[in-house]
Amino acid sequence: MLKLENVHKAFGKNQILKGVDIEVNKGDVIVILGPSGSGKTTLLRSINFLEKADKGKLTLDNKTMDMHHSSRKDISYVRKNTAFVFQNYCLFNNKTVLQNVTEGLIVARKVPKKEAVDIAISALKKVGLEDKLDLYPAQLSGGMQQRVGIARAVAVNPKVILFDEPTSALDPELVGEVLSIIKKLAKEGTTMIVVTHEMSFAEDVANKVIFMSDGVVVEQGSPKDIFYKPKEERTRQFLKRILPESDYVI
Amino acid sequence: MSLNTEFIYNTFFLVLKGVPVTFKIVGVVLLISLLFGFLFAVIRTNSNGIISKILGVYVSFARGTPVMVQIYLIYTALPTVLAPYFKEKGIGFDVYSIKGMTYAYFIFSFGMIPVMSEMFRGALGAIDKGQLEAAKAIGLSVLQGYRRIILPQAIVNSLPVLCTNITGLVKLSSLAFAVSVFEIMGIAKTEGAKFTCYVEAYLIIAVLYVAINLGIEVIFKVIEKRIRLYHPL
Repeated sequence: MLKLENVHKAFGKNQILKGVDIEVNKGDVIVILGPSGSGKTTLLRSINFLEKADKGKLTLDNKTMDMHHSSRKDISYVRKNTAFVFQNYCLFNNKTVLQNVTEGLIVARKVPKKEAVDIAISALKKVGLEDKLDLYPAQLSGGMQQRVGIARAVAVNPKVILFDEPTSALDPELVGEVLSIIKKLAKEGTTMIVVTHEMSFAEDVANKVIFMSDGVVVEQGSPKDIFYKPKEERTRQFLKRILPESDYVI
Repeated sequence: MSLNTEFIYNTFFLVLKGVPVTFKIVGVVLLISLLFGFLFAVIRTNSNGIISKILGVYVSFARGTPVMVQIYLIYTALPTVLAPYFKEKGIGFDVYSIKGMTYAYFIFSFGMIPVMSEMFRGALGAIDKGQLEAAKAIGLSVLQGYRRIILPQAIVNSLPVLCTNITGLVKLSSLAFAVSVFEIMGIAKTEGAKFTCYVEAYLIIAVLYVAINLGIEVIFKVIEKRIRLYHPL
């Protein structure tokens, strides 16, 4: 359903992505792990062209495009069929919770207002915020803001939702509520790519784990394979530092 | 020291005739400088190319030179240079036929555009990059993102500085008499010179400007209060 081929991206002299290939099938929940600087966020952001790759091919639902020489139509097509959840929520500060969720529907997808509001309310119900419709982001906690961010993504019914470290900016107590919503979405069959450091979440929810380091995909496989039977030394190195000793069996 | 109250009474109503002129100058210059100021601020915030650099030079020049110098250059020096040039090239445009008001609009806009541009640059810089990224990610075009998400926030961020700039513009308009425009300052000074009642004339000038600028401050206080009600920023 979504395929990335040979993605390269450099920031100035820094070569961040050195040829990455990813394949996503419908219903997949893919977790991308890796040390900081490995390029996982850059990779995610290059999917919906928040970063413009230097080289690479993107295929979404049989439509293939060059990631560097992309037309506005291509970019618009990808953005209208994907949704992004930001690490820092990035809610529209001058809009209410309801308006944040309807914005993508009414303005970008020309959905009539009444229908958009209905869709938005059901998305907000899903994340448990249907009683906060008229509040502004500044009046919400971080966990609530992120949940609105997720509702905003869900409401537009995308083919794939991209999560960029959705819980990294959250208070540990609030991480749980956001993760449980993502788990719920996964159960419903939503296709998702999640960049995260939450290992147990990855094990719980993902059906494929991709480990990246230094701009390349080092290893990928099912969570069981990656966490318990890592083939590459770099993977083992990474996991050793993150997982408690007892979870890791050679 | 006694004040010539008859002069004050008579002249006050005469000077009042200059208030609409002041408002006209402020209104037109405000519109032009807000429009171009925002445009230039967006350009300078998002790129660093040759246009950005040219705008930077413009801002430096307008900021670095006294307004009287700008007035002299555009009102006096420029026509003196252009007139013989036009004559030579057979261009039938009479540079001396341009009305003082037009000069006022042009010169004050020239000075105010950089002021507003820097104000907006600050306001835009205070907005998190993620706002526009989220707008793009959700499928909005850059124009839609700016109009619906960025601009409203930029305006709110600009309000305090904007109040300062508008009151500054009102005071700046008092130099219009240097390009033969009869607004508050021009009329009062002329009458004052006529009757050698300078103290009284400046009293009238002071009262009027304070009244206008106080009014502007009150308007902004009300606006800021209401914004805080709807947008707890």
